[in-house]
Amino acid sequence: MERVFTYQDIQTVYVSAEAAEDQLSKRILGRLGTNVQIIKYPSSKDPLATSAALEQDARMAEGKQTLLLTRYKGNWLKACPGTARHICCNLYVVNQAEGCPLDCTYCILQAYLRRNPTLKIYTNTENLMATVQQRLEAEPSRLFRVCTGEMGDSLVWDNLTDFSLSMVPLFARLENGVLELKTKTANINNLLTLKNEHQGKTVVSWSLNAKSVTEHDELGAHPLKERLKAAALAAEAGYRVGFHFDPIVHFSGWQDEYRETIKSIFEHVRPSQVAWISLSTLRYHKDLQSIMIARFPESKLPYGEQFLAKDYKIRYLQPIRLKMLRFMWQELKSVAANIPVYFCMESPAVWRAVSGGLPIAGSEIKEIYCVGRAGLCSCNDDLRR
Amino acid sequence: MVSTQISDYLNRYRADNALADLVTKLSPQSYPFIESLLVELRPSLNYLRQIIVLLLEIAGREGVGTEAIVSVELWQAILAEKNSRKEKQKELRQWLETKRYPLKQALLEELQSLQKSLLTDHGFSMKVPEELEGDNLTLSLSFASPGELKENTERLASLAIDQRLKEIFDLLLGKK
Repeated sequence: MERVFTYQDIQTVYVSAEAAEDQLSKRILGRLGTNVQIIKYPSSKDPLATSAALEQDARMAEGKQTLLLTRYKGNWLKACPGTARHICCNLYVVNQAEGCPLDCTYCILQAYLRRNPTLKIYTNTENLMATVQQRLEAEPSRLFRVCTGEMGDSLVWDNLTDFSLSMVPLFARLENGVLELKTKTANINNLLTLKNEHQGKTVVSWSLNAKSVTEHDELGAHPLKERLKAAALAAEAGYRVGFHFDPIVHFSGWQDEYRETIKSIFEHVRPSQVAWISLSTLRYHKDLQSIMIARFPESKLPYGEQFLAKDYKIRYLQPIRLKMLRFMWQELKSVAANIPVYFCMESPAVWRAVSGGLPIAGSEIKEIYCVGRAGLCSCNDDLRR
Repeated sequence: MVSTQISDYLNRYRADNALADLVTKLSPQSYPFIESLLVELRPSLNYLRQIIVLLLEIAGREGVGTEAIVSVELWQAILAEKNSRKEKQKELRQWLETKRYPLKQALLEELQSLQKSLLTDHGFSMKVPEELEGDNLTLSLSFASPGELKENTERLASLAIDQRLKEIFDLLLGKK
């Protein structure tokens, strides 16, 4: 039985001094109720921070139950770093939170945040909104696709924070911005209340996978069926929806299970309601492997037919990767030939081998690979290299 | 608690903590096999590390204990062969690699078979990319006269249209 994360899983909330009076802090504490231990905290540093390798696995588990409310002082809007020599999809990221209460076995945040495992929600969101608005208005000829799901699930905290109630109307007003909310949850209540306000400028996207992967390797996330039901409701409310098959996992019977998931998508939404679908096979930094094995000894993901590539990432062998990507591409295109499908961080060779050409050749993915607004297209030069 | 024989071996050859830690992840029932390995094949620490990693990964992949991977019969058969110690080491590692990476080994075997038959028929030895990553095959040729070059060119032309060459590309690009 899959167990879904709920806010009752949070045991302790640290409230940094600077965030104590923020309206968002008060809202979150009010909604968490009385069963949670609240600790006033003089610092904004991670209360579970550790550099001791031996403690990191235990701290990671504790971090999943601990929340720090604090302010963010860095640069809110950043370009996704991408991967060298791979085709970049020009995504911008903004993080209102850091760390994710969901516990996917393959999640890179386990390695990235292992020394600072406490979940964090930043409470100076007015500042975030102002920064995003200023940046987009300063470059009106550039199209900004902005995603909030880099350092955690976009919607997992939404019923506590109401973050979407601010972000979706903001992007509805910004002519050159598209907001992508990427999730493994079904937390779309707030979004449904904005059905007359989003103006088609927000894409709600779901990370999907083969059923057995969602059941065994995406702990705390909503079951596949619930994600798809939520997608159907979002589409009904006029949102364009997206889907991310990331990571695609190789296991016995993978074709049947992925085909089934693809079939389920189109039992819930029409192809015309889909903004984009991305594909990417399992790959992870070498450092993550030992963490995965220690934290999730039952997971089979570290034991696939992988190798350590020169960029220190573990990937499936190319013939396996290409077979999987080709299968997914063909299955999706057999449903709707013009559906926008792209590969996340893949090489030009993979694009050529699977799709027959570089992404710029396909007009249906223009929105992803053109950095200019419609009519002002200034396509990404990297794609031609 | 790791057996005395294994501990002594690790201490004698000054194994690092990482290797000592790996040994503790083996099931105690695997120790007789490891002890026998140390006595019969006198492996280097690097070789021992490779074997233990393979055992642990196969166990994780198949959901079994590390003791279930190398049967007594298999181990006795490897030891009984009239091979050198190094050859026996190689045989054991290859057997474990095939179990850990069955698709990769099957692919490599198929590719090697195609490469070999093309070498026999056309006289060119081709290399596939390292770790099968990429879509470029490499071949080199040498010639002692313009006439030999011309002859090579003709053989290259026949190689280029050989269906087995296409099969190699199909394997590399996941089309088979």
